Amino acid sequence: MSNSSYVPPVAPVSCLVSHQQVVLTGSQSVTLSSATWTDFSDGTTTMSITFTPTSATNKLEITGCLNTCRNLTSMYMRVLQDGAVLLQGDAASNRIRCTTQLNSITQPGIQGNTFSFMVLAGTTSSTTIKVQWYQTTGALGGVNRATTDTDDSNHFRTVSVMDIKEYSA
Amino acid sequence: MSNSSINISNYSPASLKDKNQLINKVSVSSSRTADTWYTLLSKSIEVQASSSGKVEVNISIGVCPAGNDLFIRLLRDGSQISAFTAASPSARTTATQGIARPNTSTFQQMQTLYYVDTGLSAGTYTYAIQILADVTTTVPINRHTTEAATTARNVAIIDLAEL
Repeated sequence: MSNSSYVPPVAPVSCLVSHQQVVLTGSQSVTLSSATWTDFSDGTTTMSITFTPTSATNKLEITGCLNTCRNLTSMYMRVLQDGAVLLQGDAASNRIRCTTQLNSITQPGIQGNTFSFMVLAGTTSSTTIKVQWYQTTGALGGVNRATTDTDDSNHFRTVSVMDIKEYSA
Repeated sequence: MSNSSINISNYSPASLKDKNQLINKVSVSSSRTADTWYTLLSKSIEVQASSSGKVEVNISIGVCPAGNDLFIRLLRDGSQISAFTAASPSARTTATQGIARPNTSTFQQMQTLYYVDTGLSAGTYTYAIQILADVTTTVPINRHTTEAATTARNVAIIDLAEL
């Protein structure tokens, strides 16, 4: 077979169909209620995106960066689609099931926590993907700020973001 | 070329128009004497879209905070991206992401950042990652503060891709 007559098979091409983004530029300190999953928010904007996929078989790439503070105890985070958790650890007795853990840190630090995974869109109706967080005890935590947050240049304010990229099947 | 050397049927190119990457293997300790941000990575990309261009920025770095809290910020053409900058910090310093100190000073921490920059016109854009500690201190980059046979040196990576 000569090269001139050879026609390669058509490769399946996955194209970016849509891109959604939510950015949290504000900040808040918050005492999460023990044993309660709470929507992740900077006090003004919730880490939540509602959109309509063009095909149920399209793939969604979900990435996020959450900046939080928490003094010496851990927090947990999970990603949900229409109320159902998209990705979490296995069930094991009373263990908390989550997508990822937010690091336990000392003050005045802020820790960026990231996640990245893909799922099928699963619907062509309006759908909401959001982030929730949770802590094991009721101490103070913060979004985009440290617990110690007096007004000087040695204290920082950060941003948090979630992107959803929809790719054709 | 034999067919066995490539499986075309499994080749699924994404819609990436351009993709640039920079790997920084330089291990340094940057002393902070003032509120001066140290440029860790800087890389340019040419956006082809005439409007509403998007650039995906992926960062991976490794640092050793060694008892200090570190912060990184993402710049586009020398400035923080307005839509991705903390609001009204007063005298506080704005950053993109925090890297909190670990419990042990010899622990090196890997840190990632994902962001899609949007609303770009055609042209060339330069993205940079800078790093700063919360107090005057030395910031080890791609290495531990106190190096030994049991510590490691790593790389910092910035990936840019036009979507």
